[in-house]
Amino acid sequence: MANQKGHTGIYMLIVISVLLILSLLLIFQHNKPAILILSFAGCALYSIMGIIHHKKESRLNFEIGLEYTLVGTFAFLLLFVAILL
Amino acid sequence: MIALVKNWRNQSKAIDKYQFLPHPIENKRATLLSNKAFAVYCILILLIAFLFRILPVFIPGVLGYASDISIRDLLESTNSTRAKSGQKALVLSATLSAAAEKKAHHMFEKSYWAHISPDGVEPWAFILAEGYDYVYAGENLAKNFSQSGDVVSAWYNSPSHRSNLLSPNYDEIGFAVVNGVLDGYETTLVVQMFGRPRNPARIAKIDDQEGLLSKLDNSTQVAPSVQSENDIQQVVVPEPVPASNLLIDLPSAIRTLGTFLGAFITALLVLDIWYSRRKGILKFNGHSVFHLTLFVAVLISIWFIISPGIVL
Repeated sequence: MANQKGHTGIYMLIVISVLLILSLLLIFQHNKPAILILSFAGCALYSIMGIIHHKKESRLNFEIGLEYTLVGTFAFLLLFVAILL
Repeated sequence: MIALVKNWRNQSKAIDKYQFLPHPIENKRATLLSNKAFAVYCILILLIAFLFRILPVFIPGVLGYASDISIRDLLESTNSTRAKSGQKALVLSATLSAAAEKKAHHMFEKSYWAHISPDGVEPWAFILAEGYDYVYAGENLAKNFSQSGDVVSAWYNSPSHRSNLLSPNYDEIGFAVVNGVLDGYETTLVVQMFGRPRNPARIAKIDDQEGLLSKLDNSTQVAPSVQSENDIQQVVVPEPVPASNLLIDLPSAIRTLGTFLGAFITALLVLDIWYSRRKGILKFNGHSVFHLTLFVAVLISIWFIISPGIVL
């Protein structure tokens, strides 16, 4: 039960962060450097939040850390290509 | 990825459902959602981005930005934006439009994208060269937009461009929409020039505007290729086909690629969540729901937020 509550908390945090980043992207829609920084910050924040969450649950290992890093990197690269090209 | 393809070719049975579904015995995600697979996806995107960057060097104009921008729409959109802020409408000036057109051609010929050219030519030089003696003058630039409304909206959303757009110091406006190859990409440059003539009697007449609009919008300007500088020939195309030699519209290609990859991962994650719950599979990895949220946000950004246009 405690574990489920922990998941709900971090999930709410991720959803709020995502909505916040999306709103900021919308505000700075035509400012390329700003949306590039926001995209990087959002993806980096996602990876860090995932790693911290697993660390707090004592479930963090190399594979999970690498997974969040790769997923964050892949998401950023998708945005990066769309922004810069 | 190569190893995966070799594996598929050597063992036909290797193409099993666990490439796409979580493994109930090994307690792992689908192979296509493994860390190795994500590393391959990252390399794939970098390679495609590199290809899109390097291709225009060898085949200029094969990639570009298709657009449907008209001077009439730009003028209407500019004046309606000004009206909403209580500013008077600007009158289209043939002189400022000619200056804007020369500026656009200069950018294509000298391969730059800036208010001041690399050899120091300022926007005012183009205005003065047309014999326009001004009290106030301003310039807004845009490139890679597909719609007129988006151009004006982008200028409005940028504080420095908005101050030009809504300035009470101007009486006249000029536009140029010119197509050409810049940095290897087929693109459309939009130049907007504002001015207040020193002699108020020289302000363009609103009655002449319709004729000028018809003349400007019926002649899509195509900048001469930089490669053929010794044989410069200005081509006037009578119909608005902006990206004349365009084979691939870059924003569409990027959006399709991003959507395909993002949707592919999203679909695999949905399958992972559904199948794991159905079969009661406990996996020792990160949370699929978290990843799913991230990729849905990425897809929303690619489709609805990130636009290819740039203003300067």
